Amino acid sequence: MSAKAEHTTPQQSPLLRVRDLSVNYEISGGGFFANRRVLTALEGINFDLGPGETIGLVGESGSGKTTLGRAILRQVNAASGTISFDGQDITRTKGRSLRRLRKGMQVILQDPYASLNPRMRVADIVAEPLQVHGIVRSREDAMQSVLELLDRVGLPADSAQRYPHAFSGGQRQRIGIARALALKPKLIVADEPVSALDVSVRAQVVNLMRKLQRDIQLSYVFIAHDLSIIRHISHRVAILYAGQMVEYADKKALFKKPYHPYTEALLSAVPVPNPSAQKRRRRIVCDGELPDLLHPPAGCRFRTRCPLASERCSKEAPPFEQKAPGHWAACWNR
Amino acid sequence: MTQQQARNSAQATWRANASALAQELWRDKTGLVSLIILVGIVAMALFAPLIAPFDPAAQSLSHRLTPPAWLDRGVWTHPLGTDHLGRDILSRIIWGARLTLLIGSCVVLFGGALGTAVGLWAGYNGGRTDNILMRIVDIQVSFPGILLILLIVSVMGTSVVTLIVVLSLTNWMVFARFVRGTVMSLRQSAYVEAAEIVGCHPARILFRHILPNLITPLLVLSILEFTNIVLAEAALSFLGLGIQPPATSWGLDIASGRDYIYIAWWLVTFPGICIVSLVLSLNLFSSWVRITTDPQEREKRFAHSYMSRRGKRS
Repeated sequence: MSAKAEHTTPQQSPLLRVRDLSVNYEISGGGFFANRRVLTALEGINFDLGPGETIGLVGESGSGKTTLGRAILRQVNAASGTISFDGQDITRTKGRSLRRLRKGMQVILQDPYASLNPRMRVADIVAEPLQVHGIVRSREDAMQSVLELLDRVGLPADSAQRYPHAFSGGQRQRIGIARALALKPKLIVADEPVSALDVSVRAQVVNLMRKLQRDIQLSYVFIAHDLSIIRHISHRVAILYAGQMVEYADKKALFKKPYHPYTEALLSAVPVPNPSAQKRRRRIVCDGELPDLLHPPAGCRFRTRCPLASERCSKEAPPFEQKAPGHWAACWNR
Repeated sequence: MTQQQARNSAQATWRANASALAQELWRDKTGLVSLIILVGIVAMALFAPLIAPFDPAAQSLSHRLTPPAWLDRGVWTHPLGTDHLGRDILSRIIWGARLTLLIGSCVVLFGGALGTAVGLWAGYNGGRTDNILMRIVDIQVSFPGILLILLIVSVMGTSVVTLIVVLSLTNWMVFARFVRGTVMSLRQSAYVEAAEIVGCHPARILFRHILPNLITPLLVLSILEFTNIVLAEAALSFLGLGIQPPATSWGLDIASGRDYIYIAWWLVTFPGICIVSLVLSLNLFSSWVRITTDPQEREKRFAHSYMSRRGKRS
């Protein structure tokens, strides 16, 4: 493995290992004969995730965090690099073996209003994974497991016979979690699982996820743009910007001393509960937008918005290097 | 013993469901009336030989163009009058219901099935499959239908089967295009993605997750197409390519009565009323079915009827 790949806790064998992962999207130029252009949505992503751990993926819209989650779930194809899950290379898995792989990794989707089939009863939604993978023979067999799962996520037993529209957003997300848990997966990719929920419900869902992690050794890839939730649930945090990882560290180290100016800006945007402390804080504002990924700026991709940008940043892309033990960042000026 | 019990309880729940459904229908008077009309028309078609007073093809030139019974020259032996060949219009309507219903429902069934299958396959697979299938649809749409009909009729000869085949082949594209578009958007929906990640086989995704969410719009489309087909059948019959006398259908009656519209309005009016009431009750009933099969709409209706019942009591 390359040197930059070793920013992991070595004592555990990783459940998920991502190496030099790149994902491209083909953009048709409009019209039949136009050239197809390639948009690099992710480039050179590396990380490991051990059993029972949570990695938080943070970035603004368009940074590639959802794409990374989809690539791990093999919903989009990797252009290069490898993804291994449980010691097995899954980068090119497809068809039947991919479906078998689904037993080990599941998803919690962002929008609880869209992620449940409106025509299926909750019992059928939660039982479907069990039926598809041949764990139960019939609906009747599945009922016992369904009731256990509903209980586990804190839903009453009579919800099994109802349709999704009868539930609130938080309850629907619990149904989604029950469906994800049905196969007893080792890894759950949670794609902004709480950003569509009311603030009051967010904590409940996040706490439920933490409890499940303690109970059954789940690993999470937790995608969010909200750092306060990441701080609550993650063990390690990766900051993504324009398809690249710009900083990667243990949660504590990252929140204590961020190296990358983008991380700094993100952290300064998180409010603190104490009003006078909040007033004293310096808010770092990044002007402008995420660069056009079809024509990314030369050198460092963040330099167009970076308060520290220098001559060098526009010439060479900064290497992703270890700034402190276990703390990696890509910046020339830190 | 236990099997017997299970069967009994299954029967009991089935009966309970059926009676709940009947009650729901009873509360919705529009749905009820339209169902009664539909049942009436279907019964009329089924029992035509028993209820028709005359042979629909029996001509009687001395009684030609007799007006309906309640008009001046009308007679009660021909309650709806006679046509230009002296055939009893009531009998012709009763017999005509047979072919009209048969052709309409068969064409919607076969054309709809073909179009839905093509649309599902194209929409779900996308890419090259989609391109090829949709170009076939485009070619078929741009190809003049009447030419295709002439071709097929001249090869197969005129018969009811030919008519069904011909109309299915010229009407399936609407279903394919519609289904393909809807499938493409449903494919992107979060619950389909969730089903993929759960590990569902593509066939299961198509038939468990996508198709049930298509049923409602498909039902509406089918009924609209049904009306089209009744009219298309009438047009073909008029051209001599469809139903051949002495067989009869509502469309054929309208087509042949057209020439007499100024002197004998009843030739076109009564078959026309039949087509309208058939199509209208189909529409109303399908809207009842749509609401009943959609859990969300159903809940709304339940709340509505509950509130109105409470309002009455207080």
